[in-house]
Amino acid sequence: MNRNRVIQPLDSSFRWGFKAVLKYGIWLMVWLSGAALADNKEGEQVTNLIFIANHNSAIEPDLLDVQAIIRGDQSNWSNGNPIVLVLPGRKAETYERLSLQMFGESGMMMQRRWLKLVFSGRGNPPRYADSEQEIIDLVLNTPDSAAVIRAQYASKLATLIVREI
Amino acid sequence: MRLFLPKLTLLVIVISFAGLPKAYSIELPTDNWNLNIFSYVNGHLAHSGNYEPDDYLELGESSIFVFGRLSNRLSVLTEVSLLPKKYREDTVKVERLTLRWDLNEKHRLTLGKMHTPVNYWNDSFHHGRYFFPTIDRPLAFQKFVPVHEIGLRFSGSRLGKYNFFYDVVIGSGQSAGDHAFSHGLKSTTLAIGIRPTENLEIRSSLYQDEIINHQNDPKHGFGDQTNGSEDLDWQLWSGSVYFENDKIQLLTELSASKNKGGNLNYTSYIFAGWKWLPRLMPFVFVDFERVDPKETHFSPGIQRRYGAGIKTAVSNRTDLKVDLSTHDLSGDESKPSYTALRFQFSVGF
Repeated sequence: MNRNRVIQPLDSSFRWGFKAVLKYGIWLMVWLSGAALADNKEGEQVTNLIFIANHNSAIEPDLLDVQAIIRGDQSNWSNGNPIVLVLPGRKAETYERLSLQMFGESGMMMQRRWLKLVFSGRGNPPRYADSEQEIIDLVLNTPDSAAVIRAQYASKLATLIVREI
Repeated sequence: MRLFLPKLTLLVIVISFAGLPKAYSIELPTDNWNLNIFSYVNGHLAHSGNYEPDDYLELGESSIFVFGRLSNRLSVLTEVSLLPKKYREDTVKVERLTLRWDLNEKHRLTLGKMHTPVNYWNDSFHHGRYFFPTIDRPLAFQKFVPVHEIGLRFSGSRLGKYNFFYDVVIGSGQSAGDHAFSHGLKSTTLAIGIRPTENLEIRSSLYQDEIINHQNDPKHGFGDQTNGSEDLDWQLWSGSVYFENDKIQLLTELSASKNKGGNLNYTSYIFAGWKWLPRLMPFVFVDFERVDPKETHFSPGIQRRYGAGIKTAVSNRTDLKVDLSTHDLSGDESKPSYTALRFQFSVGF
């Protein structure tokens, strides 16, 4: 065992560190600039959103914890069946709007949060749809599914649980 | 069990591919099966006065993650990591393979090889560097944290006003490795916590295990080196606080462990990140570990790591972390103190 090892003074290490950052910093800046420019947080028009669910159990819409379902904190209905959550894909109209309202972040970050949730074993994998119409079709045809869409579609969805959020 | 696990996992993966006819992208789940792949590359440019650590670029492990729903209440989950022989003796490792039964809306039962719920990191990030806040796991993972366990886990969540949750795991213990219950039931984990708001999670856990013939255990350090076959009881307490909103991300991981005698080892890891732009997060971290000089199993000493860096989402599927950090590994005689510029490029889809 080497008991005589020398701990390098921190100022020397940090001098080297700053030199290294300067030397390789140009590449870092390119990466960071690209990442910053690639962020296209679009200013979308504010629209009312509604929560829809295809679930048979007698349940009062007002008792649903929509926030917990969309954020993945609740993954089963009260009868124990898994919630099949349909989330907007990158091309869907509500992609940024939903993530901003529910997560306070961009759509990309919403997808990352859900990826982490599924990977941790806490959440059921969501299904992604590329348009609002596709979301509605999926919910209509999938028992125990749920989603969030714009309120303008509410009148066409008499067979579903609908709740304003 | 050791041979059985990879075969079973391979079967699950084959079934999952067979169940993907409608998927137009790997990111999208089919009705019942979901497949994700994670991988990463590490780079390390280090400096020290009398000691020059090697600079390197290395391929990290790739993880294949499969989730399958077998029925309304039953699901299977597996995570397999792959790494070339150059970097690891076992090229294929089953990290997780579990069968989960949802008892009702809030309680579930899980059986198989799992990550222990001792702290937030181990129960959330698993082997996915893509999710790690910093390039490395906390120092506690090198010695104390029992990453895997084969056993039975009872879990509950969303209980009461503060969203109380609990996990109870009875397992084979660390000495059993992949040989399930080869020494009987040896370990117990009790983890409890609350999620009082949607942004905050507070967790505390107790883990106890018996290390069989601890002098021969791979983690045995510089303590009493004897030829005996002494088993060793040890306990680990862990505490985690995780907070994330649209502005900041914070994680604190604390742990303390002891075995027989008056020794007490402890670790602390603190991470703070500021979401400066949606895709850019500067961060700082401090990581400290102290192993008691009287310790009889783990190698005694003090280790520190601290630094600052930036995490950036390069694209929807890729992440880049860069940090400038100092590593003072007093407990490791082969790696004296050094400063390093490091990066980790990770992908997840």
